[in-house]
Amino acid sequence: MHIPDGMLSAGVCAAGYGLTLVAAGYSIKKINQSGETVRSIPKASLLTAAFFAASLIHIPVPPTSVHLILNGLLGAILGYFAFPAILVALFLQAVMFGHGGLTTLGINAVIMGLPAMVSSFIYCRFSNPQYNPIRHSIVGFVSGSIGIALSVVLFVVILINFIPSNINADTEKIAIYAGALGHIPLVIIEGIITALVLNYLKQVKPEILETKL
Amino acid sequence: MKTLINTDCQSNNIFHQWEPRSKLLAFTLLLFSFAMVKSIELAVFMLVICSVIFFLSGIPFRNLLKRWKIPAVLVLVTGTMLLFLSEGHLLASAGPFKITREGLIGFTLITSRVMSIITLIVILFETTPLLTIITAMRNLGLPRILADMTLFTLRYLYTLHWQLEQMKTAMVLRGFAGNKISSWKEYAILIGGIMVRSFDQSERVYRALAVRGYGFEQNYIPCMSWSRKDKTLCYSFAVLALMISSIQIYLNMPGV
Amino acid sequence: MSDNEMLLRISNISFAYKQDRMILDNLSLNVSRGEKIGVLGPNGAGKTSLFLIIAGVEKPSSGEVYLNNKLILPGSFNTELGLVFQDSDDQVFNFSVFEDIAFGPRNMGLSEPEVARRVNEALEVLGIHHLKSRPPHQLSGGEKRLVAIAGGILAMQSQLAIYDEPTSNLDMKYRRKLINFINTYNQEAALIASHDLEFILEICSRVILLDQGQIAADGKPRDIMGNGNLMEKHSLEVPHSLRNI
Repeated sequence: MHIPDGMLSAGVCAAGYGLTLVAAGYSIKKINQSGETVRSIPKASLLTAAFFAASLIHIPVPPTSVHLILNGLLGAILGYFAFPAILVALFLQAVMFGHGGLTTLGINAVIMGLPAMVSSFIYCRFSNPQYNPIRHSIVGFVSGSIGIALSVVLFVVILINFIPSNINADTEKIAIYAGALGHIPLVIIEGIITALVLNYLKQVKPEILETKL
Repeated sequence: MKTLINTDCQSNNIFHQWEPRSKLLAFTLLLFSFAMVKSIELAVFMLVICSVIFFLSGIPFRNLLKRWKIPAVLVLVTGTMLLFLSEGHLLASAGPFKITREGLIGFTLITSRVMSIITLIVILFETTPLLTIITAMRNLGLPRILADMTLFTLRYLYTLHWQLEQMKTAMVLRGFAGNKISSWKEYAILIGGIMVRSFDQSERVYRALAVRGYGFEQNYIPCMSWSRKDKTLCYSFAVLALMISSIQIYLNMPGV
Repeated sequence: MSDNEMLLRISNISFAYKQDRMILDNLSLNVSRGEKIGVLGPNGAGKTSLFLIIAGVEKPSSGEVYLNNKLILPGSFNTELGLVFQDSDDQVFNFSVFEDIAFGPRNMGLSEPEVARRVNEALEVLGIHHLKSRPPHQLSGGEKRLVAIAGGILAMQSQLAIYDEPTSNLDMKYRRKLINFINTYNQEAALIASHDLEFILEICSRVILLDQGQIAADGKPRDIMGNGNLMEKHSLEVPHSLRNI
């Protein structure tokens, strides 16, 4: 779901960078307000690296397998660091593996990062400090699936509106909607895996979820 | 983990010797002007510029091919859709397939833009070590949080990826097949496990950093001055970028 | 002992991560210039915590640490001491060896030519100049340990060098290299925690035995490490080379 360089017009790329500037600026301001910036940077960075590594794993969905995006889980764990983490991860992904792009880095960060911020809000707002496995699983599932679902929606909206083309509008819409519907299984899988991982962390290392990053 | 990062950026080539901050600025300007290209004449001009710069950089063609291949499927699918499904002046048709002038232009534009932009990125990253680029970005105003996070993430990605592979191998050796839906729980534990490890390690990394004065930085900015050659290159790129973007803006005007 | 000879003074340090268990319990220790002290003890004896407190990274619940008669404040940057961590991957954080070694000197506010001079000198001393531009993830465990020593101690020109399990995961070649280095390098004093007792025996002039947050024994290496009853009592073993004495 990363848009490569050259697919979008310069205006859309610039708008993406504009939104990224606002979201990253807001996150950095909030991080600096915590007073623990220096201590949190290595923590957020190593977790970002762990997410990056985890997103390379292929999860079986017989007869095939998918690799996860995990932006919902990232939001739930990293809090205000979620958007900067996604920005950094997408930059490295573009440079190291050629996925996504650099002119489209801003717009890709918006597609992945804004939903992660929403997931972060949902998890912080609705997960209870008192561990209740069922409630925690539901909140985890919602955070995970909303993260990816919103990303799919943003992706589709951007493709429909901004890919420069003379294609028959109906044909284009049908193709893109079909692609989006194809992502429904991924939304469910991300939700389930996010809930499972958050439950595991709550039991094994609750500090990760409690640390105000 | 196989990556496209070039760790050997030593050469006497002008692009290798170019001061990183002015190089980054110049490439950014040209990249965005390429993204603006919407007319077929400008696309040809863009391809010519790109080929000249690539030729001057002395980078082997196979390195470029490696990067081109990555978005190829997506670009070709989109391009083919544009080619066959666009409405406009009919140029040729065979059965249900018809190619229009607009379709052909759309296809040519998207493929040439993608190829040109990727070529520029390859030249930039093949001639500059990644660490130098991050430092240059920091010097050009990238916030400290983002610069440090990029550096740490890059460094520990290798370590954590290796650990994750080890954990998975250890599971496989104990009979984990990992190809059924029922193995999702194990995958979640694996992901959770790597989170716990990275969290614990980050605390140790922080301590090691603190002993060497992390947080007490004197705002180190390497003062590399721009030589005449750096300035000439940077201004040439800027002029090219300005030319492309202004021509495109002119062509976008109604009635042109 | 006069104040001039004394480099490090630890007085009545106590420390606990959480309220449940004391990691260090009213511990005092003096280290003179020229001493190389081996710190022995079973796992969880409090060795690493002691080092982190000396370095000013952890805050003791009570007690004080003085280095060169100067009080070490928790959270401060103390350029007079260097710490080499147990896992070099925790320490060598930068994406190139040169940049990693330059990290400490730059934070000390040194000029860039001086930083470069120190880095190059550290690389020369350890014979690892060829690694200068390599990214750390491509280095072997032994190479990484030498880079950690170059950046943690040599480039900072520390007076007090602290090594936490320096021989762990090292092959014989790098272990020998390390022994030669510590024996010849002219640091003012060193504290070395290790389970590699033969290593301690080759390097140290004095040994302290730490257990349950207190110093259980303090003396000459051969006297302490050769004492079977004492060693066994603290879950340690007499090293092989001392068994037939």
